Amino acid sequence: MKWYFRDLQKYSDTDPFTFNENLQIKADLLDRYADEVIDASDFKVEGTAFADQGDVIIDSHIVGKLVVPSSRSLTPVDLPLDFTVEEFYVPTKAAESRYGKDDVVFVLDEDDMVDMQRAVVDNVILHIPMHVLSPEELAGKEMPSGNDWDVMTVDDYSKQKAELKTVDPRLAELKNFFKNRDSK
Amino acid sequence: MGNKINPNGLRVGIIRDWEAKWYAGKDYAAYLKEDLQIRKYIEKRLANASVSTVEIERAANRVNVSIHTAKPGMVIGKGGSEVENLRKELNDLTGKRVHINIIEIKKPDLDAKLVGENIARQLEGRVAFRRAMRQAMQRTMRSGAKGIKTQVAGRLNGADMARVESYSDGTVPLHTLRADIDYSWVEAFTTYGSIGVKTWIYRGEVLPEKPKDSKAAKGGK
Repeated sequence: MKWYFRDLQKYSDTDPFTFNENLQIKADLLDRYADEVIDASDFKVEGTAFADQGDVIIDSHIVGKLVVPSSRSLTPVDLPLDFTVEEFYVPTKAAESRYGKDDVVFVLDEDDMVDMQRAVVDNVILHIPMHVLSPEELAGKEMPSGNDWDVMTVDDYSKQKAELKTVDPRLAELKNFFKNRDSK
Repeated sequence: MGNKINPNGLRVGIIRDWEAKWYAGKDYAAYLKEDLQIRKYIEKRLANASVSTVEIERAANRVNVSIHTAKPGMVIGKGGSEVENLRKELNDLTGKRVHINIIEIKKPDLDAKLVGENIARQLEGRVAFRRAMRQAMQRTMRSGAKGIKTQVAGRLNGADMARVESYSDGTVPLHTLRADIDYSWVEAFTTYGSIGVKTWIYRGEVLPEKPKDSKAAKGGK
């Protein structure tokens, strides 16, 4: 899914270039992000591309499914993805100033190509959340624990801290100051 | 321009707590060295486990290590094998009984270290830095942050000349001490060299608790 920039510049917003393809990106994902991805289905990519003031605007809708490890237990979890992306491709660095900081703008390099496959893989990687839980874990499955180690949520940790009204360890040594007086 | 203080350090004792909580008389130097060894060991061993902070508490001949992480699974390993090994190795390193608390961070998108590490990992995975930065900022703002600032420095997208680019959204009032600002600096090791990623996240203001009995607090009449 690569197109020449000059070809895309021929399309206007009223008659845009349309695309609708199934992409196999599993190998690419496993090569670039192996720790976070176990498996990937084919991704359906559809959208439009058109020129505006010499720049090319690409709107795309990406749908597919990943299998990623649960962040709590490392068990495989299905992660359906369905999102839209709007990106701007400009021919020169000067044209970049036309866009806001929130826009994703790319200045084309010498080969003058727009690589949609790379854009899809990048965006799929970006849509993998940092925190993924399996349905059982979401339903409140008990946290694992073992010999001298526990897993807890931040809320439980704060609650435990509040309940354990022990002396601050930094002040624990103070009790030795009055040892002699207590013994008398 | 000029030197800027670390926002985390500036707020310790005001709205941020210490990451080591213990008292020592003559053993201070030994304990401090041991703390540094524990932190270094955990940082190296759990480099891919999205560890944000490591708290160390001491009581008698016991060390409590609390690891705040977004991915407890990476710390625990299959069937708890990794954490058992980690505990044994820390026992050997310190010669004391070590207890490990693994605390799962509920909203990793509000933690500067985790957001920065995520951007760094994406850059190492050859994701275009503009995409990575914008996505990180959107996620953080969607998670309820009041502001975020990210800065990347180095050979961005493999450019010949290194440069610095920064992006921000919302507000990040660095001079306000009651503003809960989390800061981190991490490095991405790409094929073109290392790229520094700085992240500031403003999570809102931390206000003092209202006294329960306002009359008593004033010395009441």
